[in-house]
Amino acid sequence: MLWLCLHLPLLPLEVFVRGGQGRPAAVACKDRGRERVLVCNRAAETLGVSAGMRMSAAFALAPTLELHPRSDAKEARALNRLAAWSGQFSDFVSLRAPDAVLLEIRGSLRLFGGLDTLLRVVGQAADELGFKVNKGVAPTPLAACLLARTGGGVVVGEGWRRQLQKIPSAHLQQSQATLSALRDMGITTLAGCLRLPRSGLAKRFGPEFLCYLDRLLGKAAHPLARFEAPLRYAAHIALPAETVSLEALSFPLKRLLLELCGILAGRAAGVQELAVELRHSRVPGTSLAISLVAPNRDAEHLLMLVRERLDRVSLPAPVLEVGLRVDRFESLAATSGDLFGRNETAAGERFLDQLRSRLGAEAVDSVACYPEHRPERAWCTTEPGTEKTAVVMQHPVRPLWLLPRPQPLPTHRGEPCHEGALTLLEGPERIESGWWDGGDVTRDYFVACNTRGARYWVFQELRRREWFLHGIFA
Amino acid sequence: MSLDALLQSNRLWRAGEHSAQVPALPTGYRALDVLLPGGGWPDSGLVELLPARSGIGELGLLMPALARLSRGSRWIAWVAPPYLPYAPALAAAGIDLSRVLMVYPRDSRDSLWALEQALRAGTCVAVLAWPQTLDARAMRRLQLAAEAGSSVGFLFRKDAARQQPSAVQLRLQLDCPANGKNRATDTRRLSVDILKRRGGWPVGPVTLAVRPAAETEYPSISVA
Repeated sequence: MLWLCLHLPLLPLEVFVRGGQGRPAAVACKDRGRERVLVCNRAAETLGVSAGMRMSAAFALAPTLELHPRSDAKEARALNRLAAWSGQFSDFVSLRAPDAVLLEIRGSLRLFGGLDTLLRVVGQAADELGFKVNKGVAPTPLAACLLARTGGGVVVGEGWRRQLQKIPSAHLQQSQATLSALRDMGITTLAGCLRLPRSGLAKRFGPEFLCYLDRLLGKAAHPLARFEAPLRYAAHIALPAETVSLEALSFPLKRLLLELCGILAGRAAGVQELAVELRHSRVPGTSLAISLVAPNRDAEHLLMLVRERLDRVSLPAPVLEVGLRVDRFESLAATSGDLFGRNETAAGERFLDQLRSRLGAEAVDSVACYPEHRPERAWCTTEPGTEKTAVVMQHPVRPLWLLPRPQPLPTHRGEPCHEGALTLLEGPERIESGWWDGGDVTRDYFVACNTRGARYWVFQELRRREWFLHGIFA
Repeated sequence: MSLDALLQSNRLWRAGEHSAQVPALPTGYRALDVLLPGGGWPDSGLVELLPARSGIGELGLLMPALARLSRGSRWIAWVAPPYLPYAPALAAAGIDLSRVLMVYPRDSRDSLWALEQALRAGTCVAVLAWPQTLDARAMRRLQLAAEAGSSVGFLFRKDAARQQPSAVQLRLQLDCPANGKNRATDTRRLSVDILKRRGGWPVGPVTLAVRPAAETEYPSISVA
């Protein structure tokens, strides 16, 4: 077994603001009766703010500091999503609340081409989501966590236990009381702990501490609960300022889509319907539904669709918060993409998605033949790519253009006219049908030609003897 | 660049020489093919068709080529057709309707967008459109989009558009032949005047017999 621990040191802040740039921001928590800085971003750090500082001191250094109250609920949701997202790198993921995720990666090394590549890929992907991640790799889950919490590191191979022993004991995941007791005993590293007699340790710190050390060093089994990702997705990101700009909206949406697509990759799934949710101040929120022709998990493609859609919509008010919701994952096996023909079909479907996201679903269709004698019912609209022209009724000649509804023609001495007198070239073709459904027609169709050489499809309604134009031989 | 390399480049056109290496798609009309660079419709770029009026067989002119293109895997997109394209007639012309895509944008701005996307996407082998107004800049954009997506765009425009200069590869004026009044019921004639072609002087008019149905002059030619 080989474990990768992803530790998110800035998670309490990152659920509100991501990235080191921008305005100084911090999350505060109550500690020994006083409001203190729990974490802060780099912009705040450059002004001298640091974790553990009293709020009054922090505000003195950075008067513009943006302060967020800690939200356990938001952190838990973000961590759950990150665990689901980690599923693309490993088939065993476990939560390490409140701020870390464990991945078993022995089985993934081959797929990703080695540990270094895997770590680079994971790091890059986490970066794109805007999370600061410390990575620890070790043969036991606790050792991986310990490394990640001390800033990251890799211990593998024969001497991994020895490498681990240099770690300061202050980083062990134990209660404050235990840690300060160790400090008071003059023990500063893990090696120091291990030199103490086991019975003494158990007496002083309880059997849990021994168990922790055994699991840390792989001397005792450490069963972990597998994280089961839900088959849906919902997340929101608050914007730093109200905006209507497409660029400002796209950036957080891209992060959400990347997260979503990572989760989808882990579940061998795709989305066919998603909703972009925009929250405004005062007015009700806007929800934009986007449908795809086929399940997809390509973040770039989805972002393009979302942008087309946003470009078309007129927002009732500036946007405070963007969100993404998917209620259903569709199965979508991994495609190598180079199977013959598969690529082109997918490209054709992507193009349909692109058109529909901007023009609306109903603006794109195709036509098909329908076995029916009445010309206006001998065709129907259909989903593009589905019609297989198998059964075609054999008709006499038909025009390429049909008028949406027959257009009455004026007559001159009993002869129909359309931009000049019409000469009947072919016909009549009698079409008498539809008496059973109320749409009955009794018509004689002709191919007619006017004096300027244009050919039309005209008919005479036999009961009233009126002439109509129904098609154009374009 | 050496002189040889320059001569090889297809950016250079030498008068009196058909650039034979232009890949082309037979139109289905031999009389027209011999006049077109490469012997047919270009396989990417814009073709401007200026029919004198609707109903003279202007769409029928494209049917043999479209029928052949519909055997491939890419779309044939119709952007904002002015009437309903009639499925039984398309099927009778030999077009595989499963490759036909109808796009109905709400306004001319969306039409232009859809047209450009269709040309650029690379997933449409041919795009048919009836743009109302199109300035030289838009035309240039579309031409580049078509080249990028290796797609051929057939633009049907009002006859008046012939006064405008344009960046298209091929520009044809279509009309009924002056003499025959189309009285005969068997064949119908269309006169094609080549106003502009890449790699040649304007020629024409040439009169073609437009066939209503699927029979083609070159049944053996297959299209990738």
